[in-house]
Amino acid sequence: MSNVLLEMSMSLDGYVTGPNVTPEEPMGRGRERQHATKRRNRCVDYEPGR
Amino acid sequence: MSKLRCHISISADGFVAGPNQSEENPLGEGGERLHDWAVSLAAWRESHDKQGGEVNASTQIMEETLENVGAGVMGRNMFGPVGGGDWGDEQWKGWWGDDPPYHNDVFILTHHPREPVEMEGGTTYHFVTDGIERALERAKEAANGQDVRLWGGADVINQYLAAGLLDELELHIVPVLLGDGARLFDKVGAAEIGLEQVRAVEAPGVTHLKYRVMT
Repeated sequence: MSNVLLEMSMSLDGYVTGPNVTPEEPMGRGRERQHATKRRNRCVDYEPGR
Repeated sequence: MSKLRCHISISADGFVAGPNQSEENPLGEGGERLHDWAVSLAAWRESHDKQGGEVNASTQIMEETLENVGAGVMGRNMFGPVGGGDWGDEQWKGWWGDDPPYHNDVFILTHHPREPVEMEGGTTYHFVTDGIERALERAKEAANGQDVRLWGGADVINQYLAAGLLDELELHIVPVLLGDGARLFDKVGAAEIGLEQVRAVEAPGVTHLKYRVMT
């Protein structure tokens, strides 16, 4: 019997992308904040797996 | 240096209490399940004058939450009664009986002034009407060098987070979905808050995640 699995990155406040998803920022706003402060776990810090 | 620390149980979908809080259901519908992991521990039972209980990976976590705490801060909604408002006949003295498990000064944030209430076992409830910063200031004075524990609920934690006044946040994440209720991190996401992971501990029925809050 095969199972259906979900595994994904999520912010501590429960989001899988930031707000305002655009073609330029496919994961929404927040990735830039991660780059600005790399050592911190930001509210949104998802890296797309591509 | 005295820190403001918060240790709180939270559902996997981010709620620290369920929907429809009431006299019968102070933690909202389903909210009791958030504390099953704690109530089963000998360390918790001892601090609430109960017998028995388990020893497991949560024991050390629970003991740490109780260490070096000199005073507390709490929101009016957590203190109760449900519905808030003015204090009426002033008979309401919290949910925790005549000898509450705090054993120090607890500062209740409220819009309604009230004289301090001294309980058994060293707990005194103080009612603060001039805001979160003043409540913290008074709690730190009372703590006399020890840390201040931020007891909750969600709204007050969110306020302290947004104001950059919380130093340490530990989430006890429970594999329960509540769907609705008091949501942590509501309206604080856009603030400039950074979290540094301190540790993650897996235990029966709960995962403990501890963060240092950076502002």
